[in-house]
Amino acid sequence: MSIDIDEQYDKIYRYCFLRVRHKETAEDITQETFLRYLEHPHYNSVDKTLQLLYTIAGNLCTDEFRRKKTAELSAAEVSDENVEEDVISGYELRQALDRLSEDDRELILLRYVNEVPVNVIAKLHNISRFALNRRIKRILGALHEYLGKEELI
Amino acid sequence: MTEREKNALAEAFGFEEPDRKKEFADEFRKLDTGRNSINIFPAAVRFAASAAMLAAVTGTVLMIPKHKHNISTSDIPPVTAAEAAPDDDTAASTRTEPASDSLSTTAAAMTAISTTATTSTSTAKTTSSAVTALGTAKAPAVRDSSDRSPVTSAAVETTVISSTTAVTVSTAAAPVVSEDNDQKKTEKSADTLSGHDMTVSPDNIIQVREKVISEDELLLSDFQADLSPYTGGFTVPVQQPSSSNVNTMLPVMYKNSSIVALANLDEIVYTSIDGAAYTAENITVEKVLKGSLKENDRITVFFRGGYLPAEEYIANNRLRYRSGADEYSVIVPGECRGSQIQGRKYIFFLSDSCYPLPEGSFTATYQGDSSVFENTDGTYTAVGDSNMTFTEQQAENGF
Repeated sequence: MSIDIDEQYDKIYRYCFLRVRHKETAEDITQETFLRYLEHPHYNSVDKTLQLLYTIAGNLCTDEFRRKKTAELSAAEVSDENVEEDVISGYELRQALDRLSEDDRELILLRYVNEVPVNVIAKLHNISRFALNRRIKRILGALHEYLGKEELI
Repeated sequence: MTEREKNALAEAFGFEEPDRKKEFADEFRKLDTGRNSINIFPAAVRFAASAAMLAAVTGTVLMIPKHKHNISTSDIPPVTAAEAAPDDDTAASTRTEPASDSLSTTAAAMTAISTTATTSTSTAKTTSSAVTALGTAKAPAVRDSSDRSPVTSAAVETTVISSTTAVTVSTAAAPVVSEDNDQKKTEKSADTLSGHDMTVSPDNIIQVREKVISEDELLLSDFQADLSPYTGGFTVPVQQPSSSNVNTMLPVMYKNSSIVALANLDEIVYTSIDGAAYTAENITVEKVLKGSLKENDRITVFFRGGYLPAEEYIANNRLRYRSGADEYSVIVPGECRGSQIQGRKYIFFLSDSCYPLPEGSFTATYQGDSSVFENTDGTYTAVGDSNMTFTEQQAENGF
């Protein structure tokens, strides 16, 4: 199944950036994800494109995380700090997101930023759709609580 | 969540814009173009696999035998009068039903030379019973037919016997048989065949020749003399129990027998196993006194002794071959002394046979004919030993 590379490239890049917190690495992983997607046996599967892309990207991010941990690169952490400092707008929301766990932040990204369907996210995290909805609802409630208002902005 | 909130979330994550997106997107499109078509190979494989599976299942189902022989014989086609009666002359003999009370066969029948036919008047329905002598061509024919196709044995047996009735069939004493009687006979025939056919076929069936000679005569003669036909039957004496032992013999025989049953002697054939002569009798059980058989079950009983072709006997005993031997049959003594008559009813004391007899067959518990009893005026007497007798009351009480 052919995909909209312009749209999916940004979404996969965001997903990878959230995981690795490094621009160049995230972009490398994004490109590697699409190349591996082309070579995958399920390339033509109509209903598994998004799931396949996010699975490949997640595995590559995990591999990168392990590699970084082994090399004990501290530069990336410096880079994270730099990223945070670069963000000006939505400072309160950013602080609220930072208070969430990694998994919760990933769910919010997938569901509301990348707009991945619930069933695909549920399969990626190996949970039911109902459990996923309850979990997202709880995360949104926590964000609202951190922000002290009903809306995120 | 509103679009505005989503944009705020995206900004709050603080993603940096990718630098190499445009170049990679162009390259990806080129790579993706060649793969854009839907690959139908998996679908074709699935379709082919499904078709193959369907064909395999269909083939398996078709290979399963549709009908196995039901030994309960509930589906035996009824024997009609038309099948049983080949022509008008033998219309009275619609069914060859051995009538034990009226049959008379002498020891001469054992020589297989003559054929005897008598008329049965023991029942209200007069039936001509044809008894074909033992050892003629008829015996193996009937034997083969009944063994190989037990389902249709009724029709086969009747037809064969009718076709070989080169004997006197008395129609004078036979009144016209009505359709009602025919129907009753047919039903009776079906009832008779409702048992299990457990008979076994000997590997070879020996035809008894017109010239019969005993072992002693064979040793003494050179076949040059004009021997008269042998009519003595199996005259070799068998050791008889003393009268004092007779009373104790029957309970022991009963105890040692796996089957004790009143049965009709349907057929006698002669065979040889490993060079030894045997007599095989097919019997139909009519009443079970002991054992697991049921009424109308058909079994085969083997007795030692019978007939052998003279040349085979000479070869087996390493005697000097004599010219003209192939015209003679040799009576080999054994347990069967030729006193049993086809068509009569006897009480058999039987045991399971063992090697070299065919599996599933039976043998006499004690000295052949001494285990076979015939009813004479309410008293059963051993065919091979007149000293051994018992009454019907004893039989009912289990000796």
